[in-house]
Amino acid sequence: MIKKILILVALVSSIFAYDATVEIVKKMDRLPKIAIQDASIGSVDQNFRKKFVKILIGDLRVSSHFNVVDEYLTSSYDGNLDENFMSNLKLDLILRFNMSFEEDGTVIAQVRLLNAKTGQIDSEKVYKISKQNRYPFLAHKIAVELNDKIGAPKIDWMEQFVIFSKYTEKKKSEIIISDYTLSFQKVIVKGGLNIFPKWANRAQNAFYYTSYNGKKPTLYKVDVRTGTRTKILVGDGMLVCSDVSQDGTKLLVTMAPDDQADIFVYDIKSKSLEKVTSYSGIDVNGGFIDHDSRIVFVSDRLGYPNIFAQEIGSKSVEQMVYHGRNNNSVSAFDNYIVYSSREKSSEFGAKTFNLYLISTKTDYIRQLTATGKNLYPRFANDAETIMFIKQYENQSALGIIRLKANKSYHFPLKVGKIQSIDW
Amino acid sequence: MKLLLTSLTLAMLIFTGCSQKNPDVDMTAKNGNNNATQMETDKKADDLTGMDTANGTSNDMNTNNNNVETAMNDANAVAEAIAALERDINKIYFDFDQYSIRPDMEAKIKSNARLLNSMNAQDLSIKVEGNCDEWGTDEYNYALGLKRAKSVKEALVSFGVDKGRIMIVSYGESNPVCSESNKACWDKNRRAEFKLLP
Repeated sequence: MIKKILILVALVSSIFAYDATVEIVKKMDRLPKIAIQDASIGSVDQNFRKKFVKILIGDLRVSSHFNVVDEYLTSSYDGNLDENFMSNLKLDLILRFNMSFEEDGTVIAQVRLLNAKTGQIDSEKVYKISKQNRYPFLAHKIAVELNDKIGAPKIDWMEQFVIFSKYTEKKKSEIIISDYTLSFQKVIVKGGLNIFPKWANRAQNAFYYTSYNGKKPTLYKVDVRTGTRTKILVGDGMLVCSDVSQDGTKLLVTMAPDDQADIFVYDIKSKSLEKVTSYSGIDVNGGFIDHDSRIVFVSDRLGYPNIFAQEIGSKSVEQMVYHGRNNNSVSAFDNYIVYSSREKSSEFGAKTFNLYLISTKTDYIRQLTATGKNLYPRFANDAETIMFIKQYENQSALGIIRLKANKSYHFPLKVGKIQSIDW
Repeated sequence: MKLLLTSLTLAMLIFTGCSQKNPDVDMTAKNGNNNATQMETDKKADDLTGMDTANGTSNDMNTNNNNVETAMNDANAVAEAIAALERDINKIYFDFDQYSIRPDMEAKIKSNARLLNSMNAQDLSIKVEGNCDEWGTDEYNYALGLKRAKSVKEALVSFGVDKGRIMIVSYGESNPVCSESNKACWDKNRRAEFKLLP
């Protein structure tokens, strides 16, 4: 009995001692094995169903909480002995769906979860989405709820919209809203150079972006429900909205009113600008930390780009990273800072840019990527998932890192080069 | 089944830790076993309604461009003179990750200053555009491009060009002159260019 208690204490300690900067190299337990069965009637477009299954399998894999069977399987909706157990696969769970369309194009997925050990139905639910091209969100929703059902750490970030800008040609870029796999994409700003989109709030119903299409760089806010656009700021030289405060009332912008790029806080309500950094070199890429009272940012004040922090209203600057000679992009969440670092001092090294994670509470540095150019890291609304831009072999991809599982995934863009991302 | 799910839950907690830092998003209520419940994911469909009807947000630029084009058509002579001047202005190149003026570029800036103060150009405004190669994060590159444009502006002023005539802008890595992935190409992209405005 004492032994059992000790084991339990050890397990509980390991749970609370979790540190995202420490790489997990060994699995500690077995993941529930799950298969997905398509039980739709034959008249429903099979290509569409296969695409749906592919996304759902991908979601469960990226969650890192399931051992998912990577096979397109079919069954009847009510199932028979074989279909309800699939004993040859030694499954724990079966997720079965019956997809259909309403006359107005609404996609309906009737979803049943079975215990593959007993063959019993655990639960059943009907999911709907009114626009067919947004079916990836239907799959993400099912994955998120299934994940919740087994009590695994939340993966709600899968349902977040991603917003990104991509270069299409010289001085031309488009802003696109997508899901995290880029399976759904919608161009929402086009014509000219439109860059650095940033969600205006957690509800993701508005965003900021910089237009380079007037005489001076201009920051706009767009309401995605109405399509209306409001001018927020006009800047000289450059203008980027790097971050939005938790309550959505303040922006961190880099602008250069006197030809000098510095970071400012812009108050949406009072329309006032407060200068936070003042250095004659480069200060850029501000991000709110510590309940919006401080910022992390990139500065070349030591002669090379590196990561610093500063309290808003104070002049004192703290160096946050003591590794690397070119750390040019940063994102922070709670005590964690993720940054992109160039591996060699020249531009000709085989290795290029990698992502690193540090904790402000410990001295550990964890390398998160190993190949290619890995840039522009951004935390999800949790400290366990990071999105970034990956460039490799002339292809641009959206990358996802799942820190606890020590896994990363890439979703390539077919055409164009990703300029910046937010989610 | 509940037992299985409970044990799976425990396994998950042990396996992945129990971090629950995510904010609560409007999750629909959990349904009981075997109770078919209808739920809507239409939020994701309707969230972008404005974008559907607006068919994308258009930009002022097209209108502005058209205006500029019309104006330029009306003043062909000025446009031609500007084009001729712009052809003669030297581009200023920079070292990797640097924004200080290279010694070999000083004479070129001096020559540009002389041209910009000549009879044909002295009434024109000058826009210095800073550009970067494809290396690094774009946000930093926009700041780097701006510093390059600023260095050039300051050098022009030191050679006698009126500060009030010069504005600067950065295009980061969005305006490459060369798209191959090699050193010669990156060298060409790390530059400041000049545009003259009536």
